[in-house]
Parts: sequence; structure tokens; C-alpha cells
Amino acid sequence: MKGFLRFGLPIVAATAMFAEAPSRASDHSDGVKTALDLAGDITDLFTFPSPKDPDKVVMIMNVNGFAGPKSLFSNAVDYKFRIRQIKDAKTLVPDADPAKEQSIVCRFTGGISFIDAKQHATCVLNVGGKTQTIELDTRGGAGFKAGNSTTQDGVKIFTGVRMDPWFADIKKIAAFDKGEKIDRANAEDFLHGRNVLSIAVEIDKARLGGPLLAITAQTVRTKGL
Amino acid sequence: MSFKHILAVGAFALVASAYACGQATAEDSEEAGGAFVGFKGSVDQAGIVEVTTIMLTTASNPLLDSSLDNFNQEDPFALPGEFRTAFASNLDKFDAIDGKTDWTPAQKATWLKRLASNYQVLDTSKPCDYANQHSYLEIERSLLTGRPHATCGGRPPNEDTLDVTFDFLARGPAATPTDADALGDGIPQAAKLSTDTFPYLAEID
Repeated sequence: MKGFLRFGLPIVAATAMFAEAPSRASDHSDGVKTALDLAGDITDLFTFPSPKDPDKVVMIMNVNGFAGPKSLFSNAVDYKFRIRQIKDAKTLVPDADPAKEQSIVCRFTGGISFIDAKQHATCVLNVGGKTQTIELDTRGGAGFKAGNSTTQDGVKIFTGVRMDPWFADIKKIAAFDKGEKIDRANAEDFLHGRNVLSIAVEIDKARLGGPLLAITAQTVRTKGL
Repeated sequence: MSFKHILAVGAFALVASAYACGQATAEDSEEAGGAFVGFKGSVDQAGIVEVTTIMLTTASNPLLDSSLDNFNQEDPFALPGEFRTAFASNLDKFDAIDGKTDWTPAQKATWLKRLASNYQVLDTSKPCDYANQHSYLEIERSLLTGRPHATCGGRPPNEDTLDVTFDFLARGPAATPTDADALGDGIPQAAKLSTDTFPYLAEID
């Protein structure tokens, strides 16, 4: 370890700082603080109608681009989907009134060895003028290797580990950032085989209003430095 | 660069070093009951793909760009105007990549207004073809090119949104990744596609 601290640390630190940064990918580790705070680092947001039922909307937030099968959500982070109405299709500007905002906020407890080994999710939905609370464990669902889902009052929620759906050649992103023209030759998917922690919500579109919706994802650390 | 940013850069270097030298593994990214302590407050926000790592950053290495941390900590529905200059200068840089000016001043102004908030636009009244995903930024590109949008917009999980982003920025709002002269990174899809069954993302191996 001493050798690592004396020789390895400076070399690798310099490499991490000045080599082609792995953070150039979608929203993965886009900044030092998110690269450090992996449990709060949103890697991607997906929003789309359910392919099985067009009357349902799906929202997926992925975090922690270095997740392993046993990785946990943070018990000190609020994971938020925030939804606002867009009234004018000619501007696409969301409603500016925070009081009219709808949200789905998931918080986590447990996941502590010998005390409370299972991690539990509590998701509070403030949508359609109603508040709904849905609870589930993040592991143990039948058919899931490292996740769980539940359905309550027409709302489906999944929490757990999934394959990272993002694909990209980060060297091409770095070249594009420099203003260089890129082509498709010699491509390499940097994210191949990686996993993420995922929160997926499926809900009736009628509850969300719309039809034009502005949807964003946010992580907020409630305890920390 | 703030003191917090310097502190975070140092801490990141330590963590990255531990990973790179085999002193840590992915399993260490478990956060047992919130044992890891980060910075209190907003950690991250996400809406538009590559809004920070392509559209905002002006540094050769995003890890050295404190504006990305500042951006991530803002309210995505109320971003301050301090990022507009970087968004505008980067858009000019990308628009010049193909040797042509594809963005009109009016289109540029409209897009910069859109970047005042970071969100995805989903139209629940329009159809989306999940088997053939081409809806990401379609609503914005329609607005910028003066035609009604035809899809749900949003962002389905299998769409090649990076190529959409490259073509949108470098070849203008009318461009698509299916054009003959389209740009792309050469990775058209993930090794394991997302499914059409809840929760849609693929199971881990």
C-alpha cells in the first residue's frame, strides 16, 4: 500500500485528471462531484409511452455508472422525477409556477449488514392532485437477478440493477468537443458490459395532464458535507 | 475554480487511483445505508442528452470544468443565465464542423432559450414507434424548422441519441442521423437492447 501511495497515486491521479475522460458520456460522471458521488450521479433519463399500453407513460432514471450486482441506492439522496405542463407548443416553455409541479420522489432506507440487510424504497407520487405512497424492497422480485417491482393502483415501480443502456465511443465525443469532424470508423463502445442502478415508473398518462410535458430528473443529497 | 471544486478534484483523483490500481472494485460503490458522505444539496440533474459534456463544457477535460458541477447543482427548471455564453460559443464551434453555417440566428436564439431549462419534452397525444425509435428532439427540431411535430418526443432507451445530438449541433435542426452525410460515433446500439416489457432495461448478465 505504501508503494501505491508513493508511486501509484500520483501517476494514476495525473492519468485520471488529464487522460481522455471517461466522463464524456451522456450524463455519466459529468463533473467532479458527480464522479465522486456515484450514488447521486444520474447517468441517463428516459421518457416514453409504454410500448405495451400507449395510455401509460414511462420514466426511467439511472444512476451510478459503476454499479455492481450488490450496489445500493443512497439512503441520504432524494431521487426525483419532476414534471411540469407545457401550455404552448410554439415555445415549449414549462409552467414557471413551482406550486403546479408534479413529482415522484424515491427515498431509501436499510441495506445495512446485520441490522437491516434489505434496502427499502419509498416513492411518494404527487401527481394529478393526489399524493400516493408506494413501498417496495430493492431486491427479491421474482424473475429479477438484482431488483424488484410492484404495482399499486395502476402505478408500476421498479428499483434495482440493470444493464446500462447507453452506448457511445467516448473518443469520438472528445474529438467532437474539440470541433473535429467525426466518422463511424474504428468505433469502440466504452460502456459495454456496465451496469446502473435504475428507478423505473409507469403511470397512466391521464394522471399527468399534458399532453405536452416537461420532465426532468434530479438527485439531491439530504445529508453530507 | 472554488475551494469545494479543488477538494472534489482531489477526492476524485484518490478514488480513481484506488480503482485503477485495483485497491477498490465496483462493489465498493455500494453505499451501505448512506455511509459515503458527499456534498449536501443537489448532486445532479438530467434532461437533454450531453447537455454538459458536449454542449456546455469549454475545458479540454470535463473533470477540470467547474461549470459542470455548478450546472448540475442548479434547479433544472430555473437555470441561471451564466451558462448561456458557453452554450452559444460551443454551438458556433459545432455548427462550423461541416464547413457550413446550418443554424440561422433565429434558430440559435430559440435553442438557447430552450437551454434555459434542462428537461425532455414528451407529447402523450402523439404516437411513438418503440420498435423503430426516432423521436428524441423531434419536437424541438420541428419547432426550429417551422413544422408540426409528429412523434411523442421524449427519449426511448434504444434510440441512438448521441448521433442525433452530433447531427443536430453540427448539421443544424433539419438534419437527421439517417441522412447520407450524417455524422456518427459508429456505435448504433447497445450490445444488449432494452426490452418492450417493464422495466424495459435489460437484465444484468
